Amino acid sequence: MKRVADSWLPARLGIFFLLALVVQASLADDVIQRASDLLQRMADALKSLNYEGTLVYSHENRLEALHLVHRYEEGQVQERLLSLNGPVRAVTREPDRVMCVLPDGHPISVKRPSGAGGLLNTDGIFPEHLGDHYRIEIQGIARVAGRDTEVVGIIPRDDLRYGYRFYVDQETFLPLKSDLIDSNGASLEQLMFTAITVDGNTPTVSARVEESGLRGAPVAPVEGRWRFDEPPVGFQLVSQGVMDNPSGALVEHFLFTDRLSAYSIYIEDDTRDGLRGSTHIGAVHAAGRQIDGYQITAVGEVPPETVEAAVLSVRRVDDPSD
Amino acid sequence: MSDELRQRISELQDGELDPAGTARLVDAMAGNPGLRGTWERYHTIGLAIRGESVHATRRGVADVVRERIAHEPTVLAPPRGDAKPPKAKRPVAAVALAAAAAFLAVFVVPGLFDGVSPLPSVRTAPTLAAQPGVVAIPAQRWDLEHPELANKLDLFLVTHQETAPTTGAKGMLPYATFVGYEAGR
Repeated sequence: MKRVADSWLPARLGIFFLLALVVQASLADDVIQRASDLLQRMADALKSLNYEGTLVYSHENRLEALHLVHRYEEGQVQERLLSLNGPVRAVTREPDRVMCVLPDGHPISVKRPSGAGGLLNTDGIFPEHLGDHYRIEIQGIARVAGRDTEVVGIIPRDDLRYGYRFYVDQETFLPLKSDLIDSNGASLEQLMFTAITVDGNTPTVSARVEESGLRGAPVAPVEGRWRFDEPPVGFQLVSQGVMDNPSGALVEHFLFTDRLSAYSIYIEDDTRDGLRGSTHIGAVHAAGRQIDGYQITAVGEVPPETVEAAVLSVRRVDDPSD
Repeated sequence: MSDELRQRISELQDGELDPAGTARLVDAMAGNPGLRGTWERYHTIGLAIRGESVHATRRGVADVVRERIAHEPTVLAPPRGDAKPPKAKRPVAAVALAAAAAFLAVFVVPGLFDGVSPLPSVRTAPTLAAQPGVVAIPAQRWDLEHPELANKLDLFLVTHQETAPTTGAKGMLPYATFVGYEAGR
């Protein structure tokens, strides 16, 4: 009898490990499902609620106070973010354009492209598609601005991208606190409401638009005279075009994303005032170099290594059919 | 320029202008150097009233100084024995030189070096840094020494944020850096 029991032992162990794997996969699926639900509701709330509040922006051991007004009326969004400390800096977003005022007398007005990005065409964040480069975690409950929030972590698996930690209000689903984090989960920047007023607590819940927009689109085929050899791991070209440049100079624009993080490459046929080397503001990095009389510049909220690898990946070909 | 426009610029600086008015004014400023100059003057006055530093936040200053120096090459050139300026102009040149030096010392040089530190070596890929002519760039808001480059990078950043697929889903976080980041404080 003892011999019979021993012969069953490997089978029992196998079944045990199989069950453990099934349970683990099921729990992981539950986390992804919960995170997906929260992030979708957050995206909807960000767009469809009316809210106004004071925020604290923390970066590099500094604190800045900001004021945000968001209005959603008849399907149209108006939004303004204004600095409360130091020189006036403001971003105003309207359905067809975004305007920025900086303290140096160089206001920026950019027409918002139709069908890509922006609030009215918000693609949500879909955790189920991020697994190759991010870990998804539900990190518990936290209290922010006097309200209970559920914390969703999207943690990068490498140092080529940043992740996020969103503190999602359990009532309105607005992100009352947002952290930009590195692969260790450490906060690089934080944006947090210290006071918020919300008109109406029921955001409009939209249908998932996973198959539309940039996310559902196939990777853009490379056209023209530029090629991108070995872009940073996980990033793919999703759109290319010509930038609407107030100066009239021709600037080609190539957008790369890993479905969460993104960077743009701009190519100009004028090397004056071109960036050579690297620079940054906060967690936004830029790198540039020149190729055959063209200026190549990469910009994005990604680590410096990523924009540097991005500009180094650019190659010009003589024959566009190559 | 009308009083109404001046009033609107003032309201914009105080954050009191409505979004539609902001849009019209920003468009007007984009195509009118006079309006931009007024914006800059008002901003400088505001800084002075609030007792804040002027030099570190005015990119335009470096441009102005560079332009003035370019138009007054004799001021910075060493005097030649055979080409001395008329005696009557020497005091003027000396005063101009002293004024330019004082202007540079008070407004420009501190702005160029406030908080400037080289990028950590790990932040620059060797292959990129090895390019000829690469300039070490201060770790400040882009590059205060080259205002046109800084403006271009701002434009690139805004365009990028507006086309990036998940910008809207992150709320205003992508713009917090743009608005909240203030260099040199």
